[in-house]
This record gives sequence, C-alpha cells and structure tokens, in this order.
Amino acid sequence: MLPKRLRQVGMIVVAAALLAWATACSSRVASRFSPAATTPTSVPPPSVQGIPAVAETRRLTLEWPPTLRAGDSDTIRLTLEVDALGKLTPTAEVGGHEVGGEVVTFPNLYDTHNVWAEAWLDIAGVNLKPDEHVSQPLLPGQSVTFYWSVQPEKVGDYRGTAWLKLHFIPKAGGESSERVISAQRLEIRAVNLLGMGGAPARLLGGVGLLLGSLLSLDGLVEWGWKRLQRRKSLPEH
Amino acid sequence: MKARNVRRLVGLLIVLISLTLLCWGLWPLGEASRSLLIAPTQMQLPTPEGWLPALLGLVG
Repeated sequence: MLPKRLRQVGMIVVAAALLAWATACSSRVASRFSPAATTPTSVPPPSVQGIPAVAETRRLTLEWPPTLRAGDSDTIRLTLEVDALGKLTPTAEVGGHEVGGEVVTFPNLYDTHNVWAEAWLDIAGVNLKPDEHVSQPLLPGQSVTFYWSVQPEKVGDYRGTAWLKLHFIPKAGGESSERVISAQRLEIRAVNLLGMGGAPARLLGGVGLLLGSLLSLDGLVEWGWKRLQRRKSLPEH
Repeated sequence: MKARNVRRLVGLLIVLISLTLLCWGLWPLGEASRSLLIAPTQMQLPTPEGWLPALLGLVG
C-alpha cells in the first residue's frame, strides 16, 4: 500500500499526461480541418487565371437521329450557348460544409480577340451537307448553332465525330491561334423493311391502300349509289 | 358471289399490308441528345508553355 501523499502525486502526474495527450490530439484534428490545409476543388491554378479566356460558361449540345430509314434524310444540330450560371464560382468542402469562394475572373478574350467557332462532321458512308468546315463568329452572350443534313443511302451502322474548334484572331493584328473544344462521337443506324427504304415503302403503302380500298370497298360504293338513287325517286310530300 | 368475296378479301389484305408499310414509313424515329458544359478554362488562349514540356519529352 503506497503512502497517501505518493498516491496523490501519482494521480496528478497521470492527469497531466492525459491533458497533454488530449491537447496534442485536438490540435492535430484542427489542422486537418483548417481551411488553409484543405485543397479547394474546381479553382484553377493562378497561372491559368492570368490567361485570357472567353469569360462565359457555355453549354455544348449535340442532337442527332440515332436511327434513320435508308434513303431518308434528317438534321444534325450542334449548339454552343451561354450557360445559365454564366460565371465560374469555386467551391470547397470543409468538414462536410460547403464553403463558397470568390467568382473567378479571367481577362476577357473578347476585348482583345475576335473569336470564331468552327465545326465539322467526320462521318463516312453518308451524304452529308455541308461536308466542309463551317465557321461562325462567337459573340459575347450569343449562341451559335450548326446544322447538317445527313442521308444514309444503304443499311448499316455509321459512326462519326462532331468537332468544334475556336479560332482566336487578335484585334491588333498578328498570328491567330486555335483550340479544339470538343470532339463528340455519334452513331447513326440506317434501317429498311423487306429491302425497301423510307420513300419506296411510303409510295407502295399509299398505292396499295388506294388499290385495296377499291377492291374491298366497291360494294360500299354501289350500296351508297343505290341508296342515293332511291332517295331521289321517292315522291315528295 | 364467291369471286366477289375473294376479291374483297384480297383487297382487305392489300389494305392491311399497305397500312403497315405506311406506318413504318411515317413513324417518328426520335432524336438523341448530348449536352456538355464548357468552362472558361477550356476556352482560353492556348499557351506555348503548354506545348514545351511535351516537345522536350519532359512529361511523364
């Protein structure tokens, strides 16, 4: 049995050790969750912020017909429009809570350059119009839309790529530069029915409907004609 | 009478086949769509510094 005084000193030492350990643990936890130690997401590095950019978030939409009847044509559309949000806002997640940052700004490219959007489709085996590259000016806040007419003549699966590139032409003169923005894959399946494409099937269907009606409904025509004749021959009261 | 019935039956058959062809030829086939967000960082001026590491084989 230890003397009373020794027991008291021992308890004080143990308590002090526990306090020191708890303090050390809490400072480690605090540093893990401090904003300075967390890497924020979606904030571009400082070197990227200094480079002029189109200061809008845009949405690129590609619409195409996944299935076509052989011989029929349809439209493929590529639209580059301003996104509803507009500006890029960085966010970070800290300990389960979302922390908003400042709106990220870039030197406005529209101030120093004319921007042109160029688009083209790479798809083999179909009739495509236009089949060359198409360009349109990209203006602030304005959307641009590209249209193509596509017509597969034969049955099969056709795979291609829709490209979009931006050209930056300095207003003060000098060499222009360009950047590929998007290359999207698309697939079109051309089908037929019993070897017939869309137009022959419709033509045959129309002619057959007329002929079949004449063959099967001639009794109806005759009945209607007789009824009309009977009404005319009835004496009027 | 029998020939008349046969003719009407053939006519009805032709009508049914023709309606099938017309439905297949006129049915709307739908459209596929894909939408992407393009951030301003993707529409920045290309910088020569970005090409240099690749040219010198310093990447990877």
